[in-house]
Amino acid sequence: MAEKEKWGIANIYSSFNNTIITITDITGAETITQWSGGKVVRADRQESSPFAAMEAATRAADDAKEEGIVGLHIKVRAPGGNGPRTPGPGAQAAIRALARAGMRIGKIEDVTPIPHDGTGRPGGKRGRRV
Amino acid sequence: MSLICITGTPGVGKTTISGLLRERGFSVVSVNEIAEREGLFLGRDPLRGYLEVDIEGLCRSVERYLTGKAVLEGHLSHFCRKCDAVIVLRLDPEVLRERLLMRGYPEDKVQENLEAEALDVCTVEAHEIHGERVREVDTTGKTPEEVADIIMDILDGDEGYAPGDVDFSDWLMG
Ligand SMILES: Nc1ncnc2c1ncn2[C@@H]1O[C@H](COP(=O)(O)OP(=O)(O)O)[C@@H](O)[C@H]1O
Ligand SMILES: [Mg+2]
Repeated sequence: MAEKEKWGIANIYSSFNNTIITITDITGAETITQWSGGKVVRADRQESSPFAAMEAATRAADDAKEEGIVGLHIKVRAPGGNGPRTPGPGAQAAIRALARAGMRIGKIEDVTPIPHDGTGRPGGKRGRRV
Repeated sequence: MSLICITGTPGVGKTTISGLLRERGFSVVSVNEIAEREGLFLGRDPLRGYLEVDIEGLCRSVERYLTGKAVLEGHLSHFCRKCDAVIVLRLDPEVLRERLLMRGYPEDKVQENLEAEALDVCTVEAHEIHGERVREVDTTGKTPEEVADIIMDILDGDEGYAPGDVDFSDWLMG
């Protein structure tokens, strides 16, 4: 009988300066691998580029495959992008690279944090599916 | 009126620094003050419970509260398109944690604000709206007076402090 397929969670952080991909087990408790744009490109100011995000994601996917992971649910934290709360270019590039590296992609959630004290911007739909 | 918008994650020092700018001759108002006086709330965020500010209404009201050299301060101020300059105040998330815990914020609210700071949320949003008019000042280890001096330098034409100089992304890597 086939063993149950192993899935993980890919947390994608895309800031003004950098893109970070952290892959954990399905519970989120154990980190399997972590790559950042800053780790895969040399030049400063390049680490937030879609290219750096793709590179980081590809390496993270390779590490995850070695751990027997076949698919990833995605949690995106990316303030940038065209519309409100849509993942920025770094995050989109990272998701595409994970898929291209052979990972199956499950649920994609936008969990971008929203600064708030007693007030905040309208439409803060944390946990929204994208 | 020339309008400077001072933004940044809650706790970075916007109100404190704006108070110093008031002493230096600026007319100052906070987003929350205008929102409260004008009743510019749309409802509550279902997840976090904060009051959602009517940003368009806010931007329309600004001129009635300010004249001359003016400062609009608040973590939503950068959504106002009328800003002539936007200053994003930044603070090391670990220092910010202490300040937000001092305010008595619950752990999840602290965590979300720290994550927002580390992800450059205010900088990214401000930059998408205002481009080159945005400057970023890392206040970590600086006194409020030093931060106010830097803002004065920027307004006097200092070309430094472009967005992207501040990078707290290491914090995200745990
Ligand atoms: N440069 C600074 N150095 C040390 N403490 C500061 C500084 N700026 C502000 N604070 C303190 O941090 C807290 C939050 O500042 P505040 O101006 O209320 O932040 P904000 O308006 O951005 O939410 C206050 O207790 C204030 O005294
Ligand atoms: Mg304040």
